[in-house]
Amino acid sequence: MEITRTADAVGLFCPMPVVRLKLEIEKIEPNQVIELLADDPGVVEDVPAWCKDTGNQCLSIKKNEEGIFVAYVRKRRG
Amino acid sequence: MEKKGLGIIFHSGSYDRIHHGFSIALAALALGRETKLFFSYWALEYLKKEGPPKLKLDSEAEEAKEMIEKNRKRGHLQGVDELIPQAKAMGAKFFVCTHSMGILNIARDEFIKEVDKSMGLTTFLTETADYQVMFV
Repeated sequence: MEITRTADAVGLFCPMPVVRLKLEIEKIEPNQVIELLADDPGVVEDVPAWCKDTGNQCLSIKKNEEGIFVAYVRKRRG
Repeated sequence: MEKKGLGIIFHSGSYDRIHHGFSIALAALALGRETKLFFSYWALEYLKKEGPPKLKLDSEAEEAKEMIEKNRKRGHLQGVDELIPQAKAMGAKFFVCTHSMGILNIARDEFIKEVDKSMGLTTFLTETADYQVMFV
């Protein structure tokens, strides 16, 4: 999977990770994938909820070995 | 499905209420919802050109403000002074309450440039007729 862009929201409290995701996904093309890094545990539910509401696709969201949540989101078509 | 807009009536001047109200606004803007903010009473102080308000806060609000400030220094969150332009840049509309301006004796030109319009409650309610509206 090719990652086109990374949105780094590590250290930022809710709702900034999702705000960062929204602003950064505007800079990529439809169908491309953005990576979001965050440590606010709210993102585990907020990112899929945001994706569902905005028509984007949350491919996965997992905590890495450093305790950072890493989410992959595919931008909606059109 | 047409997305429901969000209206927030800011009344309190407590820093934490203003701050959290902006968090709610930003979450709505990130979801692509139209967001209209109506400022009344003590909340108007945060939109004045002369800078941060010197309001007397109760102990709870004072404590919250200190905690927010501590976390701001650590880079976890932004202050209200940064949230105002961010919400504006993402499309929020800023309205000020004519009734409160009269009571507090504030003129329209005392407000920062982010303020779109001064208006009465009836206008705000018609502007947000099919919105979810909350009072902070």
